[in-house]
Amino acid sequence: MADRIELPIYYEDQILGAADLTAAVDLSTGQLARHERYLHTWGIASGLELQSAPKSTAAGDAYADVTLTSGMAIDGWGREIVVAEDELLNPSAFADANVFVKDLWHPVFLIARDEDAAAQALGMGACFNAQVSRRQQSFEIGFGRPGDQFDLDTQQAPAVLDGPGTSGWKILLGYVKYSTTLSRFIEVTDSDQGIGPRYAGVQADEVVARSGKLVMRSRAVTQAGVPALALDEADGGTLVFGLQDGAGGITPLLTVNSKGDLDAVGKIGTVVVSGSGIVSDGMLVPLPGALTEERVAQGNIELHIHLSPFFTEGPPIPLAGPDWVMHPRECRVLDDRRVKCRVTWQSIGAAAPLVTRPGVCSYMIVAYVPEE
Amino acid sequence: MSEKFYLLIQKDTLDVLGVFSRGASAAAPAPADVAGESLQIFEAETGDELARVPASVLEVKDTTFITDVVTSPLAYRWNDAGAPLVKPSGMINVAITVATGIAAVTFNPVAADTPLWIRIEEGGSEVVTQSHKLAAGATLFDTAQSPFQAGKQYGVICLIRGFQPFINFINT
Repeated sequence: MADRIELPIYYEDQILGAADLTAAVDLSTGQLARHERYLHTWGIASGLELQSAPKSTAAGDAYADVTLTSGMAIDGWGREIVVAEDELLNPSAFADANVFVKDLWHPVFLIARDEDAAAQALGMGACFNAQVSRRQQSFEIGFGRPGDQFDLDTQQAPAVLDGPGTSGWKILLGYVKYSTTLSRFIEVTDSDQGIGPRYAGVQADEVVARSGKLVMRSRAVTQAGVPALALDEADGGTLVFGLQDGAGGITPLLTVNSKGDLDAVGKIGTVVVSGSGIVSDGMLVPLPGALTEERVAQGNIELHIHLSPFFTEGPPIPLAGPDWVMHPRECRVLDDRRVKCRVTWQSIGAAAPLVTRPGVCSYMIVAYVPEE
Repeated sequence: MSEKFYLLIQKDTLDVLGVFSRGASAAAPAPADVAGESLQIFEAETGDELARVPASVLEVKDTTFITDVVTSPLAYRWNDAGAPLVKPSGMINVAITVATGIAAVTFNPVAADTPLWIRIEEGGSEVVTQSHKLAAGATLFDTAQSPFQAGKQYGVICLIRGFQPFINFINT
């Protein structure tokens, strides 16, 4: 394998061989494949849905004709797979695949396949040469065993220089159930065990708008009621989450403006309130903000409390003398938010007994309050 | 520091029993907000639960931050002028006699109608809670009742306005 990309060049009077022209074609297909796989993620780009048409046999047994709609996908090698027309899934192909397991969903895959086109009549070249001069970028519809969908991410990745190749990369389209009695499909679904078709995406560390407004939508712009996210320069800068109105606009549900103000139509899931100060032995740590004992008693509120001894200059009344130091003896919060804080005073200037007193501590309390 | 400083006092004797502060934007709390049903008094040396002061006899006062009050809250009482004031060094002595009850003796004679509040617990249960006003010159308060038993340890809080509090265990 070449370790460099070669660009074919031509000179006047050069006799061009097939390899020279093929090199030019390979260059562009390789560039496109590398773009597709390194700047995008593989998957369905458009269409390619499995649609079921309920049918019944003459004996009254229900089955389904399954059709793959037209569309396009990009595989893991960056190869474009185009299904130009709706394609009826062939039950015989399923039977030939030898993957049947009763009552289970079988994944349906789209796989790129090259096919030589028929030789061109009156083609230019050596006399009586019947070699093909076209290749069709076709596809096949494959069937897997139940659970094969879990192996989608273990498919062989290309080397950097590789072109689109013919890797046999599988793109999941959906699932079918099959009846060996009827030799037909009987059901279709797009998801099994949480895995459904994967759609092509973008690999980008930066996405930049040119109009001053960057929008992300979960569905097409005309689809009302589906979510969208907009980063907009207007009004000094806003971030808007909302639902599409079907006419290209977004009905805001949550807006953050350039000052950081948050405006929500609905409820904020959890409110964090905090407080700090000092509190003495035997008391409860004050609840922060407007939080009440009744609200805490209802439960579902998470309190985090930190205490540390509050050092002051002694001595405590009625002791006298300048050189007393405070030692924390106990400083903790009990289950009911009650503070237990004792300190021992020690004279370092003169011999004097140690004196233990109720103490005062600094507190920090943080409450996580679910919005009602 | 954007916070307000408060004292928790016994509303009759005006003894400061606790100090606390919180954010200035928060409303002044009620006594129950910082004491619960009762303020728990622990014995300083051992940390054992001594007795409780019900929130119903407590009051919250806001004041400025004073280091000495934080260091020795029990040495202060609330002043009619609206500030904490260090109490005189006068002590109270409390004795429990199983046969006759409890007697509180002040170091100095008291002024007329001096409030007294006393709470006695045993094993976390209330035994005696009384409010009283002492007559002028009195130095002795006798509960004139004796729910006490021999061989017990009672936690005693005795507050008399203008005196250092008595907070201790008494063994009978």
